[in-house]
Amino acid sequence: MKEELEQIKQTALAKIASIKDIKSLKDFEIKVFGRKGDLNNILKKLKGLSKEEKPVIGKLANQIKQELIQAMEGLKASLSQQDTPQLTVLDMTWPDTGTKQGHQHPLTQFSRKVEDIFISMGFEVIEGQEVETPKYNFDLLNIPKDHPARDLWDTYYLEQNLLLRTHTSPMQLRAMEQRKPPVRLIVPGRTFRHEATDASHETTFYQVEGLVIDKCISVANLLSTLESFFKTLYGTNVKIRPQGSYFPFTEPSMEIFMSCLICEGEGCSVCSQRGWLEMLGAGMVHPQVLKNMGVDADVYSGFAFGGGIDRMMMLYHGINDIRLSYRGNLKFLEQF
Amino acid sequence: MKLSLNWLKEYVKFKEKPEQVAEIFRQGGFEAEDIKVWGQEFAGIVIGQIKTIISHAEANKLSVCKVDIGRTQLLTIVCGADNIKPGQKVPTALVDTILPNGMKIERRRIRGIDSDGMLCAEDELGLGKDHSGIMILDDSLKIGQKFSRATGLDDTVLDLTVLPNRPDAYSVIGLAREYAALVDYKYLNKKIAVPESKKYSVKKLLTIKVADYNLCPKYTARVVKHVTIGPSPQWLQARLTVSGVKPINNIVDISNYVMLEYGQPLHVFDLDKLQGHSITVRKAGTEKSFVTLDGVTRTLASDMLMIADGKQSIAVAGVMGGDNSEVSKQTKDIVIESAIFKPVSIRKTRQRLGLMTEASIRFEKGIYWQSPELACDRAAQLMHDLAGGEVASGMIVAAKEKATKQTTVKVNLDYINKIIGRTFKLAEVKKMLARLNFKVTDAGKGVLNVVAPYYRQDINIPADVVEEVGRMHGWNKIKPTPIYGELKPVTLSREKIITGKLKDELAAHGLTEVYNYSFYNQAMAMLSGVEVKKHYAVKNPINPEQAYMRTSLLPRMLDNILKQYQENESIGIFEVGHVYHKSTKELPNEKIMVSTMVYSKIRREGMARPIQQIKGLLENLFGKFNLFDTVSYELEDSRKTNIILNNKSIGSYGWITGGSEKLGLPPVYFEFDLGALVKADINKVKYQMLSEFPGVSHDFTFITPADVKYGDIVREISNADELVTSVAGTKIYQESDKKRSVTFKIGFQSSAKTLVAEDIAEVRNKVIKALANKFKMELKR
Repeated sequence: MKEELEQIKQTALAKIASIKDIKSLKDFEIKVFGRKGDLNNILKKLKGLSKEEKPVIGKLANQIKQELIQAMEGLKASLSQQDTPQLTVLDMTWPDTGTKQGHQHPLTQFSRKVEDIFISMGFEVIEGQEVETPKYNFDLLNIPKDHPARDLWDTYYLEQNLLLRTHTSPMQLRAMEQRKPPVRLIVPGRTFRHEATDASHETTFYQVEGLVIDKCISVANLLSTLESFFKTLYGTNVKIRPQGSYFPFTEPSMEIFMSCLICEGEGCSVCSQRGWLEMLGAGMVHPQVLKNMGVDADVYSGFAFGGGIDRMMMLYHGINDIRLSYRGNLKFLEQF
Repeated sequence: MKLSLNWLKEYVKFKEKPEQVAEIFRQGGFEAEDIKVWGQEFAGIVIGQIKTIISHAEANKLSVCKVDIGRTQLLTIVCGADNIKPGQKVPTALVDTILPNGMKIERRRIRGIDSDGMLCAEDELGLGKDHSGIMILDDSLKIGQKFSRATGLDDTVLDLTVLPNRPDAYSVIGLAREYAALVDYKYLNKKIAVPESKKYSVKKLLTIKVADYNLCPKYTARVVKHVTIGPSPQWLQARLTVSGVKPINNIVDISNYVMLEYGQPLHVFDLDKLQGHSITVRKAGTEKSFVTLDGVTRTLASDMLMIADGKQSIAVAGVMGGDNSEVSKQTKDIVIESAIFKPVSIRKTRQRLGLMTEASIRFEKGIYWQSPELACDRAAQLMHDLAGGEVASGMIVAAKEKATKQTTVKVNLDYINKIIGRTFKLAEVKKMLARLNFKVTDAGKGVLNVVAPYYRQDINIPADVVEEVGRMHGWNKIKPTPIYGELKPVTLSREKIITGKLKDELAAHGLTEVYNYSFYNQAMAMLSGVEVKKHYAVKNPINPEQAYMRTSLLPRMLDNILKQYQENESIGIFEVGHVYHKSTKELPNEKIMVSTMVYSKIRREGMARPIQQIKGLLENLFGKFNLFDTVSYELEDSRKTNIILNNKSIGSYGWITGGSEKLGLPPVYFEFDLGALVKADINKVKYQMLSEFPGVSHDFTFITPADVKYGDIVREISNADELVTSVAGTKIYQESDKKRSVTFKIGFQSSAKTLVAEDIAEVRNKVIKALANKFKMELKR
């Protein structure tokens, strides 16, 4: 029987090699594997074999069956390819002429990046209104009326004693009206400054504000949080450096500088030869502002920070004019 | 503030290079915007003394000078100026020198005489605009010395940013104290000794009355008799020049010098010009105008604080003096005014007058209580030394109160350590604060009683002390430490999630996002669909493009298209942004709108195609939020369809016809209120059991009256029988004015059995009947 099996195998392999079309292959498949096919006819004879022979022959039969299936599948694949000549195109890399993907604004894309980093560190993301009252934009933030410090924020005024918020900081107060510490949140959003525009100044720009209040929040925590943020945003090579500053709503106050992305601290035109870029204003929430938020300054402390998203985005993409973001210019927008 | 390092050296001895000085200041919170090195531009210019002058034989406008520059041989220099005399000391540029104005000095033969250099005028040295003659220098200067060294112009100047809470540091002595503290050097305090003349007593020469101590808490004055008005000595002129102040005459220069040095603005009056030799500090009252010393007539408000003599105003307090009391060449006797004015009042006055001066800047920041007397003495001393004046004995001090209380701030060491996030030892903290001249006493249990020096009015609460400790230690030496706190899951707000999804979806449909300004001009306000007068007007727009707050995103989006349509076949943009509607509440009714605008020059798919696409886009968007069946559309007119959610219009879509004339085919748009979507009940998707039996779909074409709306037809078909599982319009065609032909693809399926021809015929008849009854629609055969 062994010989018979070998015989079937050899004949079948020879036949497979000569088959040229898929129809003959299918017919042949039935002839070999069909219910009344060659292989089955042989296997019917298994019954008459001895106990010792049965498994040996059975195994061999199976082995041959597998070999033949493989040979036939291989042939089937190559035959069916030949079978569809209409799929041939002149150049498969030729583009489609239909609708292209649109583009989200670089500020949208970058804000998401910023938000995602803070969300990963357990910060809420909240937004708020763009028209504000002097009370929230200034008074509650410890910027008294007629104080020279108000000059730091050139302001657009509307009728009814309203103004266009000059920073996202009013949302610190509004957020705290509905929250109790511990709090970790950021406020990204549109802000306004009443000033003449040039490549680095806009009447309209985006800020991200941060606020953390808990027991035992420190400057060291502030530095760590912002260091993590900038390293995640721009890569682990960047360094940050605090520098003493003044804001009415934080005490102590500081500005956060980041090593220049271009020259890494050597000094270049992007950083005006300083090697460092001013990125954020920050500090420990002023006890008076904590009080205005209804937070017990004896128990809780907090830090806050705020910086321009436009500037961070421009730095990331190498954009040299802040005004480009607000012109609706497709040649600009379609690059992102 | 421009800080001369030569000047700084008078108060603190240091060896650091200018860059290092700047770095130390930076760490203390005073950033140097600029470091300017003076003197290099004067290389090759030395002090020369004119020995003889003879006129040039061949040119009567020229003279030939012999000039001593400290060498064995005198230089021969041909000069065209007529203000020179033998004995004068003048800046002498040697051969091969390049002057600050770019001129190169060469040995030249001028009408037969070799000239070995040049005598320089002010403008040639870049020190001013004066070209009227050669710059005549101070007699005391050493012959042959470098011009820069001799004149004090060999200086380096840091332009430091002084933060608004540190008015005390807006002065040379303030920055010197700060520098000494930062590096732990000794601050060299200069005692001022005023050489008073017993011949005169200030009280007999001048009377002072302060009518409003609220606006002028302190007014001090001294009188200096018999001054000789003339140019200041070279060193003083140089100090002013490098500090950005133009030298005028010794008296005015001294008042400016003391202002820079002490941070106290002074004013000087000509005593003889004061009616009744008296000064009254009072409000302008009924006075309507005043001529300031720049010759401009200023309109006064009644509450502006003025300085007046016995008859009229002589100065706008703390802002600018008047030309009626100005010091002139003939002035003999000087009144020095050194005062404190209320910052708010100065600020309001200078804002209303549109007149910001060095004085007003400093008064607005605030003057510490002890400052006026110190500066008054310093100025009197200098007028004695440099202008030959006799200082009348005594000083008039008119003040609301004798002295301000010194505040003691109680600070807990634990608080300092908690806020900074580093463990300081008590002794460390004490030492750092002592460097700043803070008096620190131990109150036990880790509590410190801290008294700041009199000039530090910014230290009032414990947090202020924390800042000083951090600054002295160096913020960049604080080791970052992660926050330890409760882990709370955070999720984005629905608004953020929906906005994000919408933007993804719109961009995926080929639209590009724009960001436009929140304000627009009147023409755009008129296109917005909201009356112009119902817009918030911007009170102080910089240009007409900022006149009104937008109530729709569409006008600026149309502008985006108008600006770029020529270079594009088609433009599809979207914006998500705030609009501002008037409300009766304190704050405006601010809404976030989602808007798109699509313009295309391609018309091969027919006029209706763009509007169908925008509708399709809307349906896809609402489908994304499982609101496909909840949102409906209500035709308003042939240009506009309202988008209805929960029986309320949340926006619309249609054609942009106003303002788009030059585009040919107008753009299509949609705009809706994001807030409505956020508030809508967005149901979870509920799974519908799949039918095991096959479904079929048939096309039906009806002739329908033109006023029947799509949504109504769909509703009617859907409700005709439960076997109807889907309805969609596929074709619409205008048959006549009143008739349309419409085609629907209707799907039928049962969850119980395979539908046979009879079942479908039955449903089919129901549909046809329902449409005929309701809308008079007829099946087209």
